[in-house]
Amino acid sequence: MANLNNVNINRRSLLLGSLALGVSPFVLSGCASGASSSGSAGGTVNWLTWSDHFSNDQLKKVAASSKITGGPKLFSDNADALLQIKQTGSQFDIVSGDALWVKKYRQEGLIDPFQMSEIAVSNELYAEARDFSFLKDPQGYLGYPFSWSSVQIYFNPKLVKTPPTSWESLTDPAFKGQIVAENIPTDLLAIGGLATGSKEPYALKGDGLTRAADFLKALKPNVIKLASQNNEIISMLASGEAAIGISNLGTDLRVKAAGGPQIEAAYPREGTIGFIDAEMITSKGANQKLVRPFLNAMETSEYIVENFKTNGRPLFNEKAAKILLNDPKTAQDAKRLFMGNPEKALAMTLKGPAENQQSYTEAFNQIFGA
Amino acid sequence: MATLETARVPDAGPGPAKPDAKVARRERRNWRQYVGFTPAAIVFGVFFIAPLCLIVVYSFWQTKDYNLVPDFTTKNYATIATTDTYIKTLGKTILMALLATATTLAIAFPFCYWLVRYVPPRLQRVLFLLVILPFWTSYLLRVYAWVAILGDNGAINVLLKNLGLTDSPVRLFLYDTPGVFIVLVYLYFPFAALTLYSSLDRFDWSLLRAGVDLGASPMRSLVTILLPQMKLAMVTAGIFVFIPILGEYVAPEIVGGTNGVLMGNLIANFFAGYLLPLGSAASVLIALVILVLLVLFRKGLDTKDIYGS
Amino acid sequence: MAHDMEVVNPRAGLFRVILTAYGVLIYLFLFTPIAVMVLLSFNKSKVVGFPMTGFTLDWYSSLTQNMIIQDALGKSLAVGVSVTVLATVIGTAAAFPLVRAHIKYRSAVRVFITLPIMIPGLLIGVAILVLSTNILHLQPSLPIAVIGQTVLATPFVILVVSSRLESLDRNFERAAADLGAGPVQRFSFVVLPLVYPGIVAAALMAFTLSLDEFVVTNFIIGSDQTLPIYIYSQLKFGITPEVNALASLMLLGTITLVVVTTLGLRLIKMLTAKSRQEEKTGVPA
Repeated sequence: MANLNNVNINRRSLLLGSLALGVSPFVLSGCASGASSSGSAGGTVNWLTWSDHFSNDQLKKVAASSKITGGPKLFSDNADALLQIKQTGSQFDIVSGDALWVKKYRQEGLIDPFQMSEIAVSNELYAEARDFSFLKDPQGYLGYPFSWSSVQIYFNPKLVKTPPTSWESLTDPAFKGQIVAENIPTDLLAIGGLATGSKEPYALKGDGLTRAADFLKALKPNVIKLASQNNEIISMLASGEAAIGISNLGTDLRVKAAGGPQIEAAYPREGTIGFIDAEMITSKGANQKLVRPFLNAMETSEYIVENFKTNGRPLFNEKAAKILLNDPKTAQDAKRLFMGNPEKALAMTLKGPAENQQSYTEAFNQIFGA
Repeated sequence: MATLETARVPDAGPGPAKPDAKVARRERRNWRQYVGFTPAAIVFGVFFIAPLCLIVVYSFWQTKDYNLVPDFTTKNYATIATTDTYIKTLGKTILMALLATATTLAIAFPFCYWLVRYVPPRLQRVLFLLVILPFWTSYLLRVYAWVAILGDNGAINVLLKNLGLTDSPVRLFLYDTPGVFIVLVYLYFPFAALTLYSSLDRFDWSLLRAGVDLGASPMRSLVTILLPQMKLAMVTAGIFVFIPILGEYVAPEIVGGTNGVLMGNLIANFFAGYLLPLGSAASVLIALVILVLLVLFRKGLDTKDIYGS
Repeated sequence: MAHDMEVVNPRAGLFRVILTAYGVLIYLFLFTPIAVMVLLSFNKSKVVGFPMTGFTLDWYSSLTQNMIIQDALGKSLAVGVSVTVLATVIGTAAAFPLVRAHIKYRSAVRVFITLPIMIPGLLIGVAILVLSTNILHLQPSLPIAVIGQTVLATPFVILVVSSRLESLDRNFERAAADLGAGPVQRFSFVVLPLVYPGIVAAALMAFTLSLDEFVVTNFIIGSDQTLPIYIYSQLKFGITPEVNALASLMLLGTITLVVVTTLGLRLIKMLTAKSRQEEKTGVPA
């Protein structure tokens, strides 16, 4: 009998013990986050962003100097980020977004306006960047401008006999199976819109949408792959698997760094689409007080210079631009990547949410299905 | 995996003995025997069945501007049914899943046969563990590794060039449907091998010997004695390979190029654009295919043949 | 073994050679990608892929500096352990009635239980997300991710444990009952010792599944991230060989875990066998 009782206790305690083990990580993490948010001076800022908006080294230094630790979580595209912010309530304090998406966030009531004066380091920004109309609201700024890039054509002169000059020229059968582009349905249709002369490529309707879709249909045989990572575009251009890439500024430098050939940029005459990244402050974030000092620490020119060297695309920090343009080691790249020409950012068609997402996605799926 | 430890216990009629109908009914009424199901029922009920029902409901709704609108409509199904591309993609996906499943089984069967019959037991366990090893690395990186293997600068092309067989890189199935096919077979081979191995491991090989003693050729006794006994395991393994392939979208995106798109990619695009209703409708169609299959092959889901004995 | 066939058929020897070569080929097929993955973790280039532009250990050393990866690893392990415990307890509890209760439509119940494995993860992820945000008004979070992964892992546990249970010879239990053992004793001293390798295998499987789960988790995890989510969401600029280094280390870690578990099980078996022997000799029947 004694034996049986023993067994009983053992089993029960085993079960309870294992349950406790299963739950304990959450209790622990709960305690940890509780402790960190109760401190008023420091804490953690949860940040939904892209991998090129920070570096590990930078986060460490900022954490050491300001006692604020940035907790970045990465996302894949703007729609994905918008939905995450919508669903997670107070979990994120800052979110990064492209140009016209900022307005969308505001319409959905997901972000709060702020004053540039609250972030002292904003005086390092180009005056143009502080004047972007789509980042402003009657009550203040909606986004802190960070970086930008247009999306244009890159080609390998050894593999392409007649260099492309326009989006339209990409449908030339001579380019069969040679083009690689990023797999972002809305942006591809917007490029189709540009190619077929639409004024508002993110608000295509009726005929305009049909023409854009027809362009993509003609383009499809030439597209070998829609890449899910920008790196795939780099490696395919580097290996010669693709001769033409539709990609961001700096692609040529990155292909070279990956051991690939010299490739050249072609700026299509119909114009380009592009992004202007901005940091937004969520309206429900749990650590709102920390956001402004955190951004103030993160956006200083010292870090922006490093960011340019790592990621190779233009940023809006004028002080950083001057440093880069004056340093003979970086001057050439900085000039080529328009560090000194923020006004160029407004020459492109800005990325944004499609006005009619459903018809964009459907049109895309119908073209790129089997 | 369960097979790895302890000596095999002889199979002596598992499950309850067969009593007559009245006793059976009385025994079924004893509710205490079902208590073990409670936690599973709660978790599955709340976090699996309820959400799936919701998906079915959503497939009859609409979205407007990133918001769901509960207006009942059959438009989503109509859209899919009347769009050539969707029907074609669905057809291609089912065909791809069938082909990949058949190939996986055909490759896995002789392999497992070799493992069970020609490898000494101690080494057998280690070799079998190695089959599952790929599961312990990142799925995404394994798929990218195939790009590195088949690519123009890839392992095979470098080998061919060094052997002097080619001057310029050969495009080896990459960025096309065959590439997707190879990678799917690679990804799901362990699933099939697990099931077939455990079934072969239990087979009574003296039956084969008896067949040969009675005058059948070894090949003939394999076909007439072994294969019929393996039917169930084949069906189970097949189901375990076929069904996940129907939902695949990462592998086709990475190795398939614009020619290798499957239904999963279209659904992923729908969800990315927040077209929940359309995505749901497409998913419900795939779920229906799966349901029909499960009903057709329900006997194949005999747990005895899944993952070890 | 198959040697008996060789006596009858002279060609069986050839058959053996061919099959062995075939087996080697299969392992080549299975392991080339993994070898490539590990090899690329030593590549100097930032892009994951050939050509190798140089040999470096930088990606491994930068791992130790990467707070985000370390945080994600911690979350992955926390989620993995929780899922393993939950799925193993729930699955083992369900395996018993599945095998032993008098169920009329046993195969229907089995179909139902395997459904989470069968339904595309994309669908399950969206479904759980929609349910928790729109109906239950719960934000996506780490606990929700644990529950979602538990739904995925439990069927595997049920399958593995129940197949072990089915092959269990019930005569052992009948003998124990004849000797006066109650249900609890029968469970603890007869069933559990025979079934626990299955339970351990199932737990390992659940942990493995959790560690690489992306599709479902991504929808429901909220502001936290596990390793697969970190890996998948670097879309704009793409992954670096750092991720390969991480995966290689994790592979090493899992192999160690399995070796330790296997050796541990063997040790327990040896010890129990020894103690039983002692009991036998110490207390004569």
